[in-house]
Amino acid sequence: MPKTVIRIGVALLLAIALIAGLLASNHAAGWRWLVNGGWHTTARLGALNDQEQRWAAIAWRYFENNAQPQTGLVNGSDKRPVVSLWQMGDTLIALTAARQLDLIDDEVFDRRLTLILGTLNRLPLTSANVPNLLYSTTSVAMVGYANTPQVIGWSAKDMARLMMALRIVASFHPQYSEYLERVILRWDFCRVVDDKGQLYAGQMRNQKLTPQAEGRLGDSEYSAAGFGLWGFANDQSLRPPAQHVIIDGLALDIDARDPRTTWTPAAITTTPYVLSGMEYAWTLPGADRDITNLQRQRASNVYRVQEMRWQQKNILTARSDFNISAPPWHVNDTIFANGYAWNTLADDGKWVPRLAQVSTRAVFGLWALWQTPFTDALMAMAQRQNDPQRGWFEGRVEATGDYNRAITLSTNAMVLEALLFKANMGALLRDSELSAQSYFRRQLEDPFTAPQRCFPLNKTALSGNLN
Amino acid sequence: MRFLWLRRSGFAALLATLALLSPALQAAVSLPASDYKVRHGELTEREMAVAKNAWAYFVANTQPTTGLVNAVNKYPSTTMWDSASYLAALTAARELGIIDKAEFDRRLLQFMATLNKLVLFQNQVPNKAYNTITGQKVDYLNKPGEIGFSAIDIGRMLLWLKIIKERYPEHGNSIDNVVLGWDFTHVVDDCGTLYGAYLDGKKQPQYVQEGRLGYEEYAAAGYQLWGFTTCQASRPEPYALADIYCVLVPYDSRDPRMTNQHNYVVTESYLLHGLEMGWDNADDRDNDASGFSHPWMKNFADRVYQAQENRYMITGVLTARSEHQLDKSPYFVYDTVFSDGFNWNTITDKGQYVPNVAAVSLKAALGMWVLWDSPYTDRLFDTIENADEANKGYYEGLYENGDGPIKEFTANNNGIMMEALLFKKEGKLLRFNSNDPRKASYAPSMWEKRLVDIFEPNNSPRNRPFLNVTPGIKNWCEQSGTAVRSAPSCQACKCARCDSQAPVKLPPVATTCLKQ
Repeated sequence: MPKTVIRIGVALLLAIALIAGLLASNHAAGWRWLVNGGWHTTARLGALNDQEQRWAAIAWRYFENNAQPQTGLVNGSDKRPVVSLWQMGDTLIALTAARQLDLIDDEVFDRRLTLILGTLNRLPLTSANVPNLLYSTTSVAMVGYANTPQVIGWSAKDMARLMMALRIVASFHPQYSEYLERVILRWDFCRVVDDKGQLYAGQMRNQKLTPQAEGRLGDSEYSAAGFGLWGFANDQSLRPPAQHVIIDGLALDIDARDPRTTWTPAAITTTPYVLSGMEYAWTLPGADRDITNLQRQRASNVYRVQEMRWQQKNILTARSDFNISAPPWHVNDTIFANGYAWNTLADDGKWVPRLAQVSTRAVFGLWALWQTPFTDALMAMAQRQNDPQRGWFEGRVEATGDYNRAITLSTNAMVLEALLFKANMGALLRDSELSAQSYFRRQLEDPFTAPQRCFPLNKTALSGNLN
Repeated sequence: MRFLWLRRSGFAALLATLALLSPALQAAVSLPASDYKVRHGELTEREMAVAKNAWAYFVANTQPTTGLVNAVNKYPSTTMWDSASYLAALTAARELGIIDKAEFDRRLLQFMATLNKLVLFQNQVPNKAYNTITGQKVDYLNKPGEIGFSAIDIGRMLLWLKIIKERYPEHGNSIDNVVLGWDFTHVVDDCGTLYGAYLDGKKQPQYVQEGRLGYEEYAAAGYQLWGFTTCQASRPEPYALADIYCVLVPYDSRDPRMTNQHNYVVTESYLLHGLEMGWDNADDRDNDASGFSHPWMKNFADRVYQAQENRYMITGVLTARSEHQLDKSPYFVYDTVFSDGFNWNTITDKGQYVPNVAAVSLKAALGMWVLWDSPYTDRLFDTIENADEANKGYYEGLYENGDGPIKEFTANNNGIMMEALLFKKEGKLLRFNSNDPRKASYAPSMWEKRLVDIFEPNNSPRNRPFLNVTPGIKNWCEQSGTAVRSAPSCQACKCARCDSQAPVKLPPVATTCLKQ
């Protein structure tokens, strides 16, 4: 009898050791899988297989082709040397993913990051001390849509994406935190976010930068998260007014503000929900439990309604905004917008249904977060929409099956981000609180060094993501 | 109690609930509107005064030359829809004792004579518009010419011709003569789809499906009463749902961006079906006001009503929406519960958004008052009862933004108000007389005698329907030696894709924010 007990004891110990070993290997990815709920999640978690590794390499090819050697900035679309703050954020995430997925080594990573950090910390700012909407990737000059020197305004949404990306780099490579945190300490937030957490964009009107409330449901909460990460108030932007629209019997939330009187489209699209999922597991900094639950539910509905369209009508559906290489250049391809389901709109609001497409970035986001026959079917068709020498295409046109051969930074960054999410076995920013020892917090806490530009004031505001 | 909590708790509480509760659709919840009774009883003095004030419009706008009534005050043009509203007013005036039989008969005789002599659009059915002084067919500018026909307008006219034929069989002959003169070849197809007509750039007639959810089925009922099968038009599909203050309101899901027809949801179509058809099937001869044999009209009507009451409860804006005229540019709007993608959309016929001319429509308000007995409709009645001018009738509406009355007067508005009051007194306005075709002693009307006669030469060329050979008709055929023209035995040969007997599954009525 005692022999049996000993045997069982030994076997148990071995099993525990084996499990511990599995959990601890690969930078404790197994442990993250366990604590992040990998065993009950819908997400696709696990090391990349050879094919997925090739997908990552194709996406990284875009960054190799389009990085500017003097500045480290990467062109916003293939061979076009203009970039937004959102895309700078994409660049940092892609770079982090490339390192984690072993597409580059520490040395290449350091060289590329160092170039970008220097550029970001020297970034020319507008007269309001806020970054411009667009920059030249070659000269880092503030430019307009025609890539000529011009101040055209700012976008809190774009700033939020960069602010979040800085923190993703820091969470994987804490040794760079100080320089990453310096980037935003140069900025003036007085006109960008108010004490209730409303975000503002700046528009050039009569030669003056004029703030205007920014963000509709979906984008609004995602942008709020980027500000909440750094301790800024974000409550109002986390709770935009909502109403239901019903698509095929499913009630989806959309912003309640009227696009006809506010001239701001209200849309439901995939991107903000999959980014919130991959980066925060929908636990947005500053959000209470209700908002987090709501966010999960909205994301799940955004997934579900696209899946239902495929199941019921046999139309492969993964919607996101995208670029095309002909007018109208940029298309908002939505689940619902301005009164209609599956609406496809040019930036001027014109209805362009023939341009609707299966978006590569939406496919990768849905594929990473929901492991289902639907996302398998999406990926089966999407996996070849790329040029191995240039990167991933924007998508495949719904009406014709043609490729949309435009190639952009954001889509290729999304491919890398989704693959990083899978390999990371969970959200990229689970531990989102800024450390009290951080350079940023120390600067703000010292009354002699704190910048007087509407940064978060006290410690409680800085506590960021606490549920 | 289901919805009353909304009155106690405020807007904030509602928003919080909206935000927090899961948006799963609830099938089990029922709307308060489904428990409101229709109003029934003799008219009070106030109500009688409303009827008399409304009748003033028709006194002022009847044209002595034709017996037609101007659709809009002093403007000598009308349509089949507006003329049907005149027939409604005329019936109500007689039944409520505002005019006597003599006045009624004199007016109707002249009206029917004019209707019988109208020059039709391409020798088919009445043109969209006629001059009320000359009786000539006219274009949109009231100049002689033709522009097409509206299957919806004709449907409403058919419905009222049937109501009058059943109520006053002494006028049956002139009514049957009118309908026998019409050619339905391009109006109803084998699947029971309704078509309107317009002239294209080369002046060639184009026939296009006409009617959206609500109006389409209401108009179809008019055709059904004359024996047509309207399978496709009478089905609620295709529809989708809009969540409007927690109520799931059905709207026609044919895309207005591709079809040039707005999919407006307004009170009028549902309330007319309620008043005239009693939300019953066309073959339901029962006059009971409380049973609703139509499979979904009452259910959909309740939603359209409830969304409007909820809007008042939540925002404080008194709401009774319909299409209506304006006393200023753009002169006509669809003032809707939902249209073209948006809740509470107010649009011109071109689709332009004009929220500033939204109004409480008086016909909608009084129709809601009589079909849903509730504290909210009491308030509607109090609001509108004196919104009239002596010898002109009732205003078209009261602007929601506080700009006062829409100082325009129409036959449709005043006619529907009068039929709503008649509904209170008599219930469902379509009253079948005792001459029941199910009985062997039945005496068929001229319409029936012609349609069942296999040798009547115009039956096929004018696409007249095959009537059911009831015992009464069969008996008459045998006695008179008439060879019976009956429908082909194979229904599916006629239309394979539509089954009028297929059950209608009702969608859930509300989102969870209604749950208490």
